[in-house]
Amino acid sequence: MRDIGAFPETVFSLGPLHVTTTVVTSWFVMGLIIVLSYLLKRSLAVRPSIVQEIVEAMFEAIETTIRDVLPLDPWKVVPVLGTLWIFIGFSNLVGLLPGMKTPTADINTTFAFAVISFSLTHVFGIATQGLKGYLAHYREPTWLLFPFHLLAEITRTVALAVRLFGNMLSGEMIALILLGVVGFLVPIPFALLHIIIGLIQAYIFGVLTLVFIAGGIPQTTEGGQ
Amino acid sequence: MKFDIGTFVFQVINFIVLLFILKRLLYRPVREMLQKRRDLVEETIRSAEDARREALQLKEQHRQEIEQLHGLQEQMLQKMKEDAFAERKRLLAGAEQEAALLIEKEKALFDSEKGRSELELKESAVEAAALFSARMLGEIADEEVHRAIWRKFLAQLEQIADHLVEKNLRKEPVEVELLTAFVMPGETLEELRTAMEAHLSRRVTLHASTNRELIAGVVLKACDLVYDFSLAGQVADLKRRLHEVV
Repeated sequence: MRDIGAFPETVFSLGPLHVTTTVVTSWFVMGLIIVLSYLLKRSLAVRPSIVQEIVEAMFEAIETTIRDVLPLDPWKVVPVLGTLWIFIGFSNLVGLLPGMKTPTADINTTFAFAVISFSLTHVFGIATQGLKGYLAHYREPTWLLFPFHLLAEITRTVALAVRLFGNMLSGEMIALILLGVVGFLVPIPFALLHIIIGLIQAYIFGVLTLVFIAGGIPQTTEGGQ
Repeated sequence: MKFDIGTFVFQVINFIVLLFILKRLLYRPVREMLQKRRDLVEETIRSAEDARREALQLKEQHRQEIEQLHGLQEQMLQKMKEDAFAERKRLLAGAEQEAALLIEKEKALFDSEKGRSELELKESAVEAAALFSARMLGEIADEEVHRAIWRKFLAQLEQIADHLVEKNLRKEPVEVELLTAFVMPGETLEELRTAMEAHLSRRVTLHASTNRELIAGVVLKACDLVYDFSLAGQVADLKRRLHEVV
């Protein structure tokens, strides 16, 4: 598989840690996001430009979605959820650029995002109910089901990581195979499909994270705006 | 593909770093801007609501003022009607009074003119009658008539003398002025003077003269008394009596 370049390669090492092409591409994505954010911040005005209106509409949509699901101040969740959406979305699409590898086609990246999602579920659960209150839901309806709760936590986290990884890796591999087999122009429709799949997968990842967070918070919890 | 702890750790760190940076660079400014715009929208809505409320208040105030003005207008119209009615009544009364005075005045003037005209008419009638009588007498009266009157005068001479005596005649000689319509002979006049001296028992000076205006007859004047036996005197007497009668 290394022959077709779908898997990451080590660029350099920092002691025992290998810095792969995935990490470097992620840094590029981060840099791109930061630059775009900086440019957007500079152009923010009370009378908005079209770009600002689009961005504000997106954030309002995120805010509305969170408010509909969570009984919390939406802006407590917007940064982490927004960062997940933006980071995963850009990561899914960056592979379309020549010479770039899709970071989310690396299981380590998707697993990292899944662990972050898993952590966020517990962080918000504990933050809203306290440790004791949060852990109490593991004994519902009985302690006997605790192992199943634990198994569900692990499997849904793994499923989250594998779903994203599988979709992005398959897309990338199909593109690479088609590029190698039938030439230059044929993969273009598949690339367009890859864009849609990338955005949808980012959206699904974020929404599932939001659902997991909401599952860890009782709907009667006070504090929502 | 195998699990690489290095990539995993770097990606987790990358996410945290990106989250930290975007919080400052993107989320906070966008949230502040959204909040600012919401505040602006709310402020605009509040301002619009205030303006609408103020407009409604002004409209209500305007309506009340219009109603007050209508009420005031009604009152003024009513008062003007009453004033106009009173003024009309007063003017009519004044006009009626003035008309009555005018009618009275015109009536008085008319009566005065009527009286004056009647008087003038009477005067003219009397004058005409007198003139007619004088003319007619002047036509028919001759010296015969004059002598007849003279004889009548002589017949009443005694009564005239008694009358003069009654009037306390003191002067002597008694100055007697005698006017005749025709020239009387000297002896006739002397006879008259003698007869008067006999009746008066005093001397008499007679001054005789002729005046054709007497038509016929004689006029005797003595001691401020006049005894008229002329036709002119008769006409004058007629004229006076006509004045009294008409």
